[in-house]
Amino acid sequence: MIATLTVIALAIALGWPIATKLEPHRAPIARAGEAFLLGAGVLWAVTLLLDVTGVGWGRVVWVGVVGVVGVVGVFSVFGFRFSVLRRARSVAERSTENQQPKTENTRLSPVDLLTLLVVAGYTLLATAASPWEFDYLTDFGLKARQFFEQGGIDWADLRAHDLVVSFHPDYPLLLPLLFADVSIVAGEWTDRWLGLFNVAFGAALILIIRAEIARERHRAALATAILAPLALSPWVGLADGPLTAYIAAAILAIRRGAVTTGALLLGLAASTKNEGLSMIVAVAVAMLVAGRARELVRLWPAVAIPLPWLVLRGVHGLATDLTSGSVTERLVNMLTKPKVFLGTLAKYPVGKRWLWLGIAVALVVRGRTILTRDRFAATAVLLQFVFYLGAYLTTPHDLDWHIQWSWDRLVSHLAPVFAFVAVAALLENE
Amino acid sequence: MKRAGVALAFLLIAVGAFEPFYVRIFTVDRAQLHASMTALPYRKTAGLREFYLDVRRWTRPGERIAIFPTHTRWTGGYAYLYERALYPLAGRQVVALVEPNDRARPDHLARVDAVAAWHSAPQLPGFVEAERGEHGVLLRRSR
Repeated sequence: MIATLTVIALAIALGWPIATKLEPHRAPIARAGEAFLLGAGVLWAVTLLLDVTGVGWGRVVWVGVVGVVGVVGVFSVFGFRFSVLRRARSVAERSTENQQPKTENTRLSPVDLLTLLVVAGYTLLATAASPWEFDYLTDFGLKARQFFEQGGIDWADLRAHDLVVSFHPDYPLLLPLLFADVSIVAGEWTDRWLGLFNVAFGAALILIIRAEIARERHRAALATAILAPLALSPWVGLADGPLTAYIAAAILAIRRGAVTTGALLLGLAASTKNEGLSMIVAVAVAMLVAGRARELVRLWPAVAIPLPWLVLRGVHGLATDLTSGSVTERLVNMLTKPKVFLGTLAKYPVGKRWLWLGIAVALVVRGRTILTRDRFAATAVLLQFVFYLGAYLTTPHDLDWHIQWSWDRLVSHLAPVFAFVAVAALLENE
Repeated sequence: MKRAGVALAFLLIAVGAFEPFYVRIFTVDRAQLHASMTALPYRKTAGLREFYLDVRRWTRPGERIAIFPTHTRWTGGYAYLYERALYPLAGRQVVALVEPNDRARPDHLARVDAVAAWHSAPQLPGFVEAERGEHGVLLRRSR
C-alpha cells in the first residue's frame, strides 16, 4: 500500500506546480484534483522516456529523475511567480464562455459528508483485492507486470498476443506504466493496492466537479454527492476510470476558459486510451460550434502529448484492430442492415437508464439554457458518442460481442459530463 | 409545471447515478469480499489460480511454457485456461497448443521448455513430470 500511496503522492506533488502555473487562482480542492491528473501524466512521461532512451527503470535512477523533475517544477513556479500571475489574469480575461463570477465557492458543507461516504465505500470495493477484471489480467495489468519483470517496455511481447482479443497492443501506456511505477518504487512486483489509482482518479474528478459546481450555484455539495458515483468507475484496474477523469476534467476546463489546462488533460486522455484521440477531434469541433475558433490553436498540447506514442506504435508495428482490413467495406455492410445494428444496441443496457431519463427531462425543461450556456460541453460529448457508434459501425469483431462487452463502459466515459451539464442547467434560476 | 420538471429531473439523475453497493459495502464481510474478488476471474475452473501460482513458482523468468489442452476446444474452455495463464506467468512466454479455430498445435511443443497441465497428468513424448501440485502437474523436457 505504501508504494501505491507514494506514487499517488508523487503525482500530486509533481502536478501541483503545473496546476498552479496554469491557474494560480484556482481553488485548492480543484487544484489538488488537477495536480494528480497532470502529475500522473508526468510520471508516465518520465517512465516512458527512461525506457526509450535506454536509461532503464532502476529504482535509484527513477526516483532521482522524478526528484529532479519535481524540483524543476517547483522552481519554475516560484521563480517566475509574477509573470505567471500576469499570464493567468490574461487567460481568465480571454474566457469566452461561462460568464459566471470567477470566485470559486468551495467552502465545505455537511452535505459533503455524503460524497465522502460514497468515496469511502468505493475505496473499500476498489481495494477489496488485487484488480480482478479480465481486461486488467489480459491487458493493462499484464502489460505492467510484463514490463516490470522485463525491466522496460517489451515491444516484442506487445506484438505476441494476437490470440487474445482483449490485449490491445496499440493502446497507449499511461496506466500500465503507472502500475509499473508502483513496483519500481517497491522494488518487486506488487498489485495488491493498485485499485487505489481508481480511487485517486475518481476523487480527482470529484474535487474538480465540486469546484465547478461551486462556480455555478450554491447547492454544490448536494450536486457533487449526486454526481460523485459517476466519477468512480466500477471497472477496477482498467483505463476507463482514468479516461473518464481526464475527459471530464478537460471539457470542464475548456468550458471555463482554461484551454491550456484542458488541452494538457486531453493529451493525457489520448495517452490513456485510444478513445481519447477521438475526444480531441470532438472537442475541436465543439469549440468551432461554440464560436471559439480563435482558441483552437491553444489545443496544440492535446496533439503534441500523444504524438510520441503514435510514432512509437507505428515504428514497432503495433496494430489497431478497428482500422484493420477494409473499414469502408464494413461500414457500408453495416449501414445496409440498420435493424441489426440498432437491435443489437437496444439489446444491451446503456448503463444507468434512470440517469439518462433524468438528463432527457433536464433537456426538456432546461434545453435553452444547455444550448446557450453549454453548447461546447454538450456538443463535445455528443460528438464523442457519435464516434463510439462509428466504432461499432466499422467493427471488425462480432457486433453482438463487441457491444455486449464495451457499450456500458464507453457510455460511462461521457456520463459525468452529460450529467454535469444537466445538473448545472437545473440549478440555473433555482 | 417547470418546477416539477426540474424536481423530477433532479430526482431521476440522483437515483440513476447512485451506486447502492458503494454504501452497502460497509455491511459486507471484508475477508469474504477479498476471497470472492480474488477468485472471480477463475471461478469457472476450480483451483486454476492456485495451479498457475504453483507453475510460476516452479518455473523461471524467460522460460517457454505450453498450456496443456485439458479442454480441447478454444471456445469450449481452452481460451479460458490460456488467457488466464498470461498474468500469473508474466515474464515467461505462454504458448497455446490450440488455435481459435480449434486446430490443435502439438507442433508447438517443440519450442517449449515445459508444459503446464491443469487437472490432468498427460504422458507427452519428450517430456517427464517434474512437479505435481494439488491442481495439476508441470512437465519438463526430458534430457
